Amino acid sequence: MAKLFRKILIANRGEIARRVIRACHELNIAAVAVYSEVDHHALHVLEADEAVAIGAAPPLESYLNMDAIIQAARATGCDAIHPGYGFLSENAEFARKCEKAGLVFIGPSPEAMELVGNKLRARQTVMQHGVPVTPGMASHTADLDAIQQFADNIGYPIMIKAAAGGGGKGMRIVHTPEELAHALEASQREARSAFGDDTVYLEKFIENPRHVEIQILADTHGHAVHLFERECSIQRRHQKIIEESPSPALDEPLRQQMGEAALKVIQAVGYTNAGTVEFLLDENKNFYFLEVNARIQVEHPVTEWITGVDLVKQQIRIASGEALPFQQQDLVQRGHAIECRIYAEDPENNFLPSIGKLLWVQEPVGPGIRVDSSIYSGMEVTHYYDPILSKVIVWDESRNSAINKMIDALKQYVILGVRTPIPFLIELLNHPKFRLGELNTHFIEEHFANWKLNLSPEEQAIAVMAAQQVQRLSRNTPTSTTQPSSNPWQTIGHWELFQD
Amino acid sequence: MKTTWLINHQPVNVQFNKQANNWQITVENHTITLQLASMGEHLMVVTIQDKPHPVHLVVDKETVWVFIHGKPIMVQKQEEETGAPIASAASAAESAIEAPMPGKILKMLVQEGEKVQAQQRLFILEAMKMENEVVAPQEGIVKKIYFQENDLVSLGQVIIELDYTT
Repeated sequence: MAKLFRKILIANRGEIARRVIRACHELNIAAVAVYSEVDHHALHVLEADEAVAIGAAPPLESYLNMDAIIQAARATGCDAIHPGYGFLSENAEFARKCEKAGLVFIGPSPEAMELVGNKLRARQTVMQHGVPVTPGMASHTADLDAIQQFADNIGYPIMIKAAAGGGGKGMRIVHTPEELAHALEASQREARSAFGDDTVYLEKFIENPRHVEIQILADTHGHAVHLFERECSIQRRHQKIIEESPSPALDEPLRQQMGEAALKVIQAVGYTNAGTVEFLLDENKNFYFLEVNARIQVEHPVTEWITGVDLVKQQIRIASGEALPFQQQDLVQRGHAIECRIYAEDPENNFLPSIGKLLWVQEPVGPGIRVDSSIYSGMEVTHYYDPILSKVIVWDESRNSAINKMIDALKQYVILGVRTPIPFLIELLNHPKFRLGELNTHFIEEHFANWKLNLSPEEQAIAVMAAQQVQRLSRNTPTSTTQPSSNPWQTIGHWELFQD
Repeated sequence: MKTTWLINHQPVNVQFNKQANNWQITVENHTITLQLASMGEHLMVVTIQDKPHPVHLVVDKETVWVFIHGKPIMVQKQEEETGAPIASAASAAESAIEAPMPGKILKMLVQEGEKVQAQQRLFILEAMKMENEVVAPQEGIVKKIYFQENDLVSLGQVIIELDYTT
């Protein structure tokens, strides 16, 4: 058996850094955190065995600063680096630099990363291996006439996408030939500024698709398994906010077909470690390859819960050279898991980030509730990083009971000081179409456009009453020198009123 | 007493009435009767028609953040047209000194008819083995005392009535 690492540097922050630190500790591996100036008191720093300051708050000076991170890893005697998600996780250059410095990058090879990182090349490769892709251009061209002709052939609406793209950047939907030239220019401009590469390509626009992805694990000995699907159709701004498994859209034969297609993709690109193959599923249950996410994903806990496999620990084991301890037939989907992402964002204002101080935080607990979080009362949410605060993941026997459990968990998730989508998510989970599993990637625009928080007269009364009471209590307590604070909520400990 | 509050930045007219241990609160045209209990620094229980609602809260300067049933609500008291905060006007009109927490009256420090100064100690309330002094918000005369030493009192019960007019 291959020997596991002794010490791993986690090149990330927030909840995913804490998640990886836990996995390290469970495997008796020391964990080294890195942090920017503003993250000095972050939980991942406090929980790691060692922590190294790597630069100022802007990501380019810290969490994207490859040399500083590699230097920190060498200085602390690490033998591997876990990149988490985002930041440097899908950066082939960083993986190469790690290799050169004698550090194992916990992820796929730089070659595989490069191949799947270019969406157009990935498309071409998987097509050659018989994996279905959306009808579209096999290569890129700057010739507007050729593009126009191609669009006419496959029929409108069409999608323009950036080859280097992700997160919806450079993406345009074109409904008529007249819009094409303008959309093409805009897409190229956006792609150039976002990825430094303005290569774009055309695809048939799939109406009302579902986003269904397959989790895979592949070791360096040629074994690969899929760990079933996650349905991630509930998105806002092209970003997922609710993920679940199993998908209400898949039956057993389709699940098997998609799993096999995902494994074909993995083999075609020579992928190792944990990864996700994303598909679009149309209304007639045809699926099309979308892209490969060459990293651990935000929504990985969903899969961990229904399979019982710890994906982060498997990533570490695979990177250290171990073979997968199970085969496809050993894996089963058990029960139903749902994840809700909790961002600091305002659901009443187009989900724009909401920064500020977290005044009071109380996280839900209970059987079947997992909270992957990095927040605490008094923490400052800054504008420097992705505004994800935490993820709530629940497991239960059936989809409906899991939805109920999630709603209860969210109702107990107190976050005051910044806006979060919690009240929005509660309503969404209760929507009859969501309950029925009738989902598509436009679900939020279709059913919740311009959503506003609705307060019943009762809730308004409770809120004002509670506020008035707090202010009144402050007035009736002394402000003399014997008691430093006039706020009884600060000076008085726990007290109850049930004796009458 | 009519006041204006901001609920998530929306102004609403609110009227409070205290009757024994019940509060009657009218928000715009809806009147709701409720009881209050405090469970600690950040938790209150509001009971409406025998159903208890947990209310999480935190105070940030002039804003009280409240969390009910998964909904965060920002509550602020609207300032009066004169520019003076309502808080001071309200305290001028109010003469009832209430128990700021449930507990036992440990010591009654004043008598009916006594003249008291602002910030003068009125009684000591023991809660969770801690003594808490309750003082007069402003100068006045003790009009009525409703409880004696060793009496158990609930949150918000009127202990003393002061007369500020003299």
